[in-house]
Amino acid sequence: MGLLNQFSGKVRWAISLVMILLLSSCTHDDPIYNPTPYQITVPKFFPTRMNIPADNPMTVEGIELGRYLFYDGRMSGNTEPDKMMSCGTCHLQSKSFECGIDHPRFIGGRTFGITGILTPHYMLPMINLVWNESGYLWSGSISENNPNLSQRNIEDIVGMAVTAPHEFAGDSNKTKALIQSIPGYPELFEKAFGSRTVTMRNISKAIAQFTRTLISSDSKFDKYMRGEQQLSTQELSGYVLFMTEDGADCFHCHGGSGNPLFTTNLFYNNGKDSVFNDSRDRFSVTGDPSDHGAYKVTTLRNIELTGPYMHDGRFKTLDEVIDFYSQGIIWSPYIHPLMHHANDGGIQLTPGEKADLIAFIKTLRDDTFLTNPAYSSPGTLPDGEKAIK
Amino acid sequence: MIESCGKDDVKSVAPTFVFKHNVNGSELEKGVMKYTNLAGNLYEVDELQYFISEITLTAADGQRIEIKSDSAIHYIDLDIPSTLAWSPEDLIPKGDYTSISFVFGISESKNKTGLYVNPPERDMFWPDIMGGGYHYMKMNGNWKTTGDLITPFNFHLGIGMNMDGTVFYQNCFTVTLPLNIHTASLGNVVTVTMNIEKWFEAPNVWDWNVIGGQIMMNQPAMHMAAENGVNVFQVSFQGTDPE
Ligand code: HEC
Ligand code: HEC
Repeated sequence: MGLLNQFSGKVRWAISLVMILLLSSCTHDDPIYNPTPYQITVPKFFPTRMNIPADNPMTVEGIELGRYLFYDGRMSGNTEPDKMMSCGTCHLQSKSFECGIDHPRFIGGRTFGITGILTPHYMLPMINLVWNESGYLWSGSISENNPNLSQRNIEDIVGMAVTAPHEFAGDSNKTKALIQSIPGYPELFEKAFGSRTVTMRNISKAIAQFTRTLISSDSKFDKYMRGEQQLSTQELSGYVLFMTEDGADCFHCHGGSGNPLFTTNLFYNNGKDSVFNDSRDRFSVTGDPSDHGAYKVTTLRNIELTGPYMHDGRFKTLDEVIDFYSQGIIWSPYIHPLMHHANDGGIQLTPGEKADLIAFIKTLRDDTFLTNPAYSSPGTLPDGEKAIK
Repeated sequence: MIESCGKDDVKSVAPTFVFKHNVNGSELEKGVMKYTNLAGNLYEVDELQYFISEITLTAADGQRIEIKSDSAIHYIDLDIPSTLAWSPEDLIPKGDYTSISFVFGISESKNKTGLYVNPPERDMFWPDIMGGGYHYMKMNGNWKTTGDLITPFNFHLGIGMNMDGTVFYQNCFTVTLPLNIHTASLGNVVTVTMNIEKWFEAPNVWDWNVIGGQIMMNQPAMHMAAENGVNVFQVSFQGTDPE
């Protein structure tokens, strides 16, 4: 070090550059490890800044591997049919990556893990997650601000799903060993990460890469914004209600013309209760009393497919949700001030206005997303087994 | 405050702007219902988010220097500490400055939807059907009504509109304040302080019980707020002359 310190900054910089080049040439010895960078095409009006960790750049090979793993029930560490579970068991493309209210196994949309333990909350969709900088899960606990280095991004959610009693209830060593033993996977890991050895870290990275490709930007409303399609008179009336303070005023939290994600990804108490004792609300993360009963505002994209609604699934239909915002708001000291009808029970819409608002919200359904073959189950897994549908 | 490097350029310095918020002199405490405005409304402020833009310093010799970095616009959010200080890339010639001015909000030519696609600025967007662009300010809180109900207010300013949506009003306004400091170098920090209470005092006494809590679609109210707004700021300067 003493010697290095005698060099000027420039020389020192050149030396470290040489060292980096030497290092990287070592890893490139391996002819099979030459991953192809994957560039997300940012849709018109979408954010240009993306939440992609520096240590997990997206690659075509990483995404391909991640898609297999997302739909492979052996991620649970089990091979018996009734004990297998993957992300795709609960997160269905046709339901915007929720399970939907009519799921044959998760009755009424209530999800549970392999052993039958219920998930603490109802589901969240997987849409446009790469543009969320404020925190994942209903409480937003998975974020860059989490002091726990292993609870910061989607990569970490994968590891949590494997071991959580309400999901795979598994053991990451078992999962790792099983995936390692499946013909085809070691090659895919090598192509994506330069090593045939399966690690939980690389499993997590691959699945996270896949989830970051799940982008919705082609709803009827997107086409309207791009000038490609007109909205009906009723849809336009609903749009005006959605976007105006004297109307239904949804846009301050759910986005709109200036925010195509249809969520700010921030946290609000939207006036459903007067007593708050959920140990997984926003308050549990921030300790800020004004966050009692606050949850992440959900995107309204594909919302017609993702009932039941709210973190606790209390509303079965969109009609019930609109009735709530119209007549069912409950004042509490914690209600967010953007819920400005707090003292009048709600926005007091007429039946006609409710129908208009719902007609508009339905223009946010994106069939291109729901049927995009790149997001669907690969059908066959690397070893020829059937993937979760 | 960083002295610009390079011997040939010691004539200029990089200013830092710091944004502070108080109520009649004492630092704002968020979420505490303890302030009473001139109209007698008891109120609290929970969130405060706003833009100031086109900061211009006028030198003793009349020269005007506009801060141009970041499209000349800065976003301030009480919940995001990093927004409470701004060190633009601009370099300012050393010298005596007698006044500072800035636009509260964003002026018409720049205030167009699409200017910001990333948060947090993006979430200030103002609906296209109401003129588009961005809220100049969102101040959210509660006041106690005459019937003792704690009721939300959303003191939001932006482009105004007449009742039938045919005429739009640019409600942004320019604040000009004496800098009152004569120094050989514009060194350290210019502190811009908003006294929240001044939004509610003069020339228009603000009574939420009369005006109501929401004003985005109430152009006369937004106009009154803008008239009061020219009185809400103070600036001060702490400079150390490095020479
Ligand atoms: C048993 C059903 C189930 C399985 C299996 C499951 N999830 Fe989830 N997922 C949920 C539920 C329920 C939530 C909402 C959790 C909460 O915030 O309380 C969720 C939330 C998420 C979120 C957060 C989305 C957001 O907007 O914040 C991500 C990301 C996610 N899951 C990824 C995965 C991945 C990757 C896997 C596979 C490794 C997986 N999930 C497996 C049920 C499941
Ligand atoms: C103050 C912010 C705010 C406003 C205003 C607001 N919402 Fe919400 N909305 C939320 C939050 C937060 C949630 C999630 C709450 C929860 O799960 O407990 C939510 C949830 C929803 C859901 C269910 C989402 C899901 O995936 O379960 C729908 C539908 C919805 N809102 C529609 C609307 C409509 C329509 C309006 C306008 C009438 C509106 N919201 C106004 C904050 C808001």
